[in-house]
Amino acid sequence: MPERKGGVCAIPLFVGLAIWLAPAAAVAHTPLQGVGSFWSGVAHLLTSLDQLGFLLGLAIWTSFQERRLDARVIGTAFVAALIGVWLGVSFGEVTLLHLAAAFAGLMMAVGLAGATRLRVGAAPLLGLALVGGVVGGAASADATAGLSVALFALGGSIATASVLSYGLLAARRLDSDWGRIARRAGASWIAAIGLMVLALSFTSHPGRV
Amino acid sequence: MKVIRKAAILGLAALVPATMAAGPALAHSVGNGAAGFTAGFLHPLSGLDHLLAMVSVGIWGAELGAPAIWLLPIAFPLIMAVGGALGVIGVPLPAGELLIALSVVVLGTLVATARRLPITAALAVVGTFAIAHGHAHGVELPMAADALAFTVGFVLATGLLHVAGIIIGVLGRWPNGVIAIRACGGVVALVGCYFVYGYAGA
Repeated sequence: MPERKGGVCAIPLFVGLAIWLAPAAAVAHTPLQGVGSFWSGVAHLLTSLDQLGFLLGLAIWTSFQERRLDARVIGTAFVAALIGVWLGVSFGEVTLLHLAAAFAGLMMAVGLAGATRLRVGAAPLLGLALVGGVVGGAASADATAGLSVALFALGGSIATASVLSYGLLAARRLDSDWGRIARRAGASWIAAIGLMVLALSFTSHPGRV
Repeated sequence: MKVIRKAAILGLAALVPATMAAGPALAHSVGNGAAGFTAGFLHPLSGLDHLLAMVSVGIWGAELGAPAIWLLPIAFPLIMAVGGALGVIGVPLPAGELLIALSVVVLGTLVATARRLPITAALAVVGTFAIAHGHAHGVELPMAADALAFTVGFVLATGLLHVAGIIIGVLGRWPNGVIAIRACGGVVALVGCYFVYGYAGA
């Protein structure tokens, strides 16, 4: 079985290597918008610390639940992120500050749940994945100006599912005693960040959240 | 597990080719986020009082053993964040700097004497000092260029200092290690006395 496992994992690496070797023009020092709508959606999520924090917290919390919930959480977050971008574009009056506060609250919730190793059923877990995906998508909507909303949303959703998948893969592998402690400590860090950002959302400050 | 692995492979297969396509390089474009993260990460490392207190929490947790070895580092960031939130919204903490200086003295002494307290008492001690340390961070937080990146940086640095303390504390499994750790605790307590003296002098 190990041989088969190794073969499956190697396929995307070989594909990537082959494409890497294909000649292409270097476009150094050009703005981010040049990458197009799809990759702007991917890059937006991967450079948003609050969204990454929430997704990692969700992955850690999910890793303390039954394995059968993993795929449902990933699927829910994927669909929710798609819907969120559409909602954000349609209802632009929702200010970013409100969404920042909402995201900080979500980070705190998944962080606390992970740190306390809270065991729950499917509904709260999927509910948070849904709300987090929608809020994250809506928060990204302001970056869609001049871009294809559909491609941007698709890029963001695939990135959301990928981050959750890799987060869950990593978290599930940390199954030793120290691994479980590391997961809980990581979740408590995410909750701490969420709480402080939440406080910042309700005060005037020169920096940005 | 299979489903996650398949999803991960599909995600990788979708992402890898695109990263290899001729996209723009964003070299030398460090934004506020990077500056905020660096400032936040260096903040606990550049202040000796913070640094010594955080490492001492980890060492003391290792000395106490389970469950303190994992409970203290998990609880500390959460309680520190409460103090940070109080600082951010402008709630004053009387003699906050004195509490921080005292935290170095007390935690150093606890490490030096390998004092065993019940877990609730240990949490109360660490929690009180976590509020003071968090408050100091929180007061400075609104001035950060990117507050979120600053927060991520300093929480990460604080956690890594705890980990460093736990690793040092593991030396206590050897007889010479116990002596070294307790000597370190004594030095930390003495440095803390200097901080308290400085506070009283000011």
